[in-house]
Amino acid sequence: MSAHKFQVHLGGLIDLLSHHLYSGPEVYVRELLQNAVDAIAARDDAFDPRIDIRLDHGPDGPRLHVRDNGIGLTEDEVHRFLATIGESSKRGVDAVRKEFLGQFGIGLLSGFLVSDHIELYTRSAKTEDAPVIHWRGHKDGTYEVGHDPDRTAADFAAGTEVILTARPDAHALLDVDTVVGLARHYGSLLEPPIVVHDGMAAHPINDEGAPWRQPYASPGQRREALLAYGQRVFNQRFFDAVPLVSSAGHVDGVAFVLAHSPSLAQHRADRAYLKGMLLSDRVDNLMPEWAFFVRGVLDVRGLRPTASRESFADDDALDLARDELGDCLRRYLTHLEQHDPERLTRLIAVHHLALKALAADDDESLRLFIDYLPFETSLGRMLFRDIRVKTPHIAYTPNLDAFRQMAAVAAAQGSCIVNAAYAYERRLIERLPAVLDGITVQEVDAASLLESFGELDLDERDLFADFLAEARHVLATRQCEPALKRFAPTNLPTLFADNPDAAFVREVERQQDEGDDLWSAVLDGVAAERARAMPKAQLVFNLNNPLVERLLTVDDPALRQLSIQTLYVQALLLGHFPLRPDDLRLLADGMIGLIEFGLDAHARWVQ
Amino acid sequence: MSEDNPYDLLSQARAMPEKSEARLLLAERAAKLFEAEGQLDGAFDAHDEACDAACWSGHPDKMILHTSWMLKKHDEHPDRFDEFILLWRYKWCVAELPGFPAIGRDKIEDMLDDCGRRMLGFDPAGEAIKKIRFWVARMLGDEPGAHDWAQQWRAAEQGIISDCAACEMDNEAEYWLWKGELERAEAAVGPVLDGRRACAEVPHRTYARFIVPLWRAGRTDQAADWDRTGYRLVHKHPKMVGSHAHHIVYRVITGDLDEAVARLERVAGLGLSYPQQMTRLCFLLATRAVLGALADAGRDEVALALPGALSEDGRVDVNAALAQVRNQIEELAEAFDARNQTRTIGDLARSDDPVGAVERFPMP
Repeated sequence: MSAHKFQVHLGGLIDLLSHHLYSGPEVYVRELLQNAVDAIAARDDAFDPRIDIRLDHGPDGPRLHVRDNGIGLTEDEVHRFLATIGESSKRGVDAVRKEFLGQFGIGLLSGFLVSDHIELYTRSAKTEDAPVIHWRGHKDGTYEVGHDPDRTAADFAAGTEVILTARPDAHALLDVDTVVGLARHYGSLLEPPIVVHDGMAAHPINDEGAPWRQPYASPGQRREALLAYGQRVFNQRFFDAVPLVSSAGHVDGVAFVLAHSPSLAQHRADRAYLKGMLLSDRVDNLMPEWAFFVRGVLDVRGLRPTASRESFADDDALDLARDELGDCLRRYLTHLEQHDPERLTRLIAVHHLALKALAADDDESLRLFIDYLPFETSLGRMLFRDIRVKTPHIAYTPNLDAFRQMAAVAAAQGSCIVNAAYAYERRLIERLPAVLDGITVQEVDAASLLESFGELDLDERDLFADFLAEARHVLATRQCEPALKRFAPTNLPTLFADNPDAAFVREVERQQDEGDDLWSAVLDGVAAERARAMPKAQLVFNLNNPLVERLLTVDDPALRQLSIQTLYVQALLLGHFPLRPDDLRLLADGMIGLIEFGLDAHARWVQ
Repeated sequence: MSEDNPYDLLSQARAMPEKSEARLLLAERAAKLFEAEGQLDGAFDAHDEACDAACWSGHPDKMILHTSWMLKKHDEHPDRFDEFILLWRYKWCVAELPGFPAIGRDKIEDMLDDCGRRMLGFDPAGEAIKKIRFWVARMLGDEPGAHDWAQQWRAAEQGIISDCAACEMDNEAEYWLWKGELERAEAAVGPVLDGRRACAEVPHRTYARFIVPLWRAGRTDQAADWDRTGYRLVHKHPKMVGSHAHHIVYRVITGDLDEAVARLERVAGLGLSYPQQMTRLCFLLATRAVLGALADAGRDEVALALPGALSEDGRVDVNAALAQVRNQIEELAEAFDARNQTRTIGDLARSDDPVGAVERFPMP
C-alpha cells in the first residue's frame, strides 16, 4: 500500500462552505470583521484599534476594502495560514490566539462567496521594519505572494487590508447600504471603532455601543432608550425593558417584556452576541424556560455556543448564567410589586401564564405574586387574593371535564372550585400550603362534590327504592350508577358525575362499537387495568328539581323508564359527552315513546 | 374564546406547552365537540393533536385510543387524511403494545403485520417494522427472536418512515449495550454526543443508557459526567420514565441516596402509575432499589412524598413501602410471564439486584 495526497478543489470547498457552514453569502462581512477583530485582539502593544471599510469602483467592478491595524502577518505566516486553513473550523467556539492563523484562513476564504479573487496587503506589527506583503488568491486555489515595493512601512502601518472585487452576481452584496446594514447587523457591539466609507460619507457602525452600557440622565430616559432600541432590533413595541447581567458566563444585555401574550408552544428566540459579534437571533437556551414573557438581547463572553450556533453548550456555566439572568427578572418583578403594583397588575394581565410558570417552581415568587394571579373558578375568573378572602380552604380539580361538570352546581351552592387543569395551576395550588400560612388545599372531583349534596332520609329511601332499581336496570350496560340527592340549582334535573377511568373505558367501548375485531381486542388489553377497578360514573337525580319530583310520583313504569333514559342522554349532551350508537337509539326511543305517550294522553283527554 | 367552540379549544391546545396535560385535555375536548357536530376533518385534527399530546405527556394508552380512531376514519375515507403522519403515530403505538400485559401475543403479531403492511410504501425494506419487532421480541422475553430480528433490522435499508439519524444511532448503541459491548456502543453514538445529531429524546436517553455500564466498567468520572449532563436533559421530560429510572439507580449504586430520593420524588407521581405497565415495572424496580438502599442504611422512615398508599403526609415507612412495591412488581412480573409464555421479564424483575435489572430492562 502506498500513500498519496489527494487534491482539494477549492471552488468545490467554497460551495460546500457557503451551503453548509455559512447560512448565506452575506456572512462574508461577519467573517472579515471577525478576522479584523481577532487581529486586533492578537496585538499586545499600545495602539488605537480601528477597522475601516472602504467601498470604491475598481477596473473589474465594485470593490470592498477592509483595513484593520491589528497584528498583521509576516511572509512566513502568509504561507502558513494557507497551509493551516481548515485546521480548526471552530471559529468562535475557542477563539484563542494560537488558532488565529487557522481561523484567519477560514475567514478569508469567505471572500470567495462574493468575489473570484481576494487581495491582501499585510504588514506584521511584530517588528518595526517588517515589509508589506502582497498576496493574491484565486478561486481555483492558486495564489501569488511577494513584497509590494509600492507600499512601504511609512505609508502602510501595521495591520491588514483585504480587498474583494464583486462578481457580477454579487454586486448587490457590495452596495453601500447593504454593507453598512450587514456591518451594523453583525458588528454593532464590537469594540474597535468600525467605519464604512463610500467616497462621499463616513458611516459609523458601532459608535453608539451597547445601549444598556451607556449612562443616562434618569431611569426614565434609560427605559425610553432601551425600549426604542428593542423596537429597532425586533421591530415590535415592548411593555418594558429590564437590564440583565450575569457574572457567570460574563453575560449582559436587556430583556424586553412582550406587549402581548406569546404562545407557550413557541420556542425561545433571543438575540445573542458572542464577544460583540452577532451569533444568532434564535438562541433558545440562554434565558430561563419560564421567562417566555421576554425576548432578550445579550452579549456573551464566557459561554460556548454549540455547532448549530442557536444554543449554548449545556454545561454548569450555562446553568449558573441562566439562574443569574432569571434572578434579574425576579428582582425586576419584586421591584414592581413593591414600588409599582399598578404596572405589575398590567403585566400580569398579559403574562399570567409566565408568572405561573415561574411561581410553580419558585417559593419566593409564589409568595410574592400569587395574589395577583388569575384563576378560572366555578364563580368566574378571580384573582387569588379574592379567592383567599372567600375561603382559605382551596378546592381544586386538575381535570377539565370534572371542572366543567361541577362548575354550575358548585356555583349554585356558592362554593368556589378552582380549575387546575391548565399548564401550571395544579403544581401552584398543591404547593400553596407549604408556602402560605393558613391556606389548605383539597383536590375535589365530582364524587366529592356529591358528598356535599343533601342525602335522602330513611323514609325517602324506602319510598324511592323502586325508582332507583328501575334506573339501575335502564343504565345497566352504561358503566353508570344512578343516585338520588338534593342539590342546587333546582332547575338542573340531573348531574352526570364522571371519573377518568370510567370515561376512558367508555371511550374504548364507544370505539369498539364502531371498530374492527383486531383493534377491539387491542383496546380491551389497553383498558384492562382501568376496567378491573370497575369504575362507574354516576347519574344523580336532583330531588329539588320539580320535574324529578313529579317523575318519582308517576306510577306508570313505561313512562318512568322512558323519562329516565331520556334524562340520561340529556345529561350526557349537557356535559358534551360523545354519544355511542346505542345512546342515540336510547334517545330516539325515549323521544318517540314520550311523544306517543303524550298523544295517547291527549286522545284520552279529548274522549 | 368559547369553551364550547371546538376550533377555539383546538387553538388553545396548540398554544399549550408541548408536554403538558392541559394540551391533551383541551384537544380531547375539541375532538368530542367536533365529533358531536359531525365535523370529520376537525375531529381528525383534534384527535391527531391529542395523540401527539398524549405521547409527550406520558399517556400511551390514550395515544393508542386516538390512533385507533384515526386509522378507522382513514380506512373509511382513504384519500382524505395525511397517511404518512398517521403511520408515524401507528408506529409509536405498535411499539407500546407489548407493554400492556393484557394484550395477547397473537394480537400483537396481528398488529405488527398490519402496521408493516401499511408502511410498505414508505419503508420498502421494512427497516422500521423490523426494528420494532426486535424491541417487541425483547419485551416478550423472546431472546432468540430478538437476535434474529436485530440481524434483519440492521441489514435492511432505511425508508422515509425510519427513525431520525439521532434515534438510529441511539438504537444502535442500545443494541451493543444489550450485547455487552460498551466500546462499540460508544462508537455508535459519537455524532450524538458531540452535538452533531439530536432530536427530541436523543441524546437525553442516550446518556441514561450508558451511565450504569460506564460505572461498572470503572470509568466513574465519565459516568458521573454523563449522569449530570443527561439528567439535566431528562429532568424536564417527566414522560421519559425509563431514563429517569436509570438516573435514579445510578445514584443508588454510587451511594448518593439524597439525590436518588430527590430524583425519585420528582417523577414518582407519573412513574408509579404509568399506564404502560412494562415501563412502570422498570420504574418500580428503581423505586425498589432506592427503598432497599434506605432500609440497608437503617432508615425506617424518610420524608418522601410518594403517590397512593406508599406515603402518608409526605412520609414513607420504608419497610412497609418496600413490601408494597415488591408486591406490585410481583403482580406485574406474573402478568407479563403469563402473557409472554416465557419467564425472562419475570426473572429479571424478581432478581436480587434491582439496579442490574433496570440496566438490562428492555426500554426502547
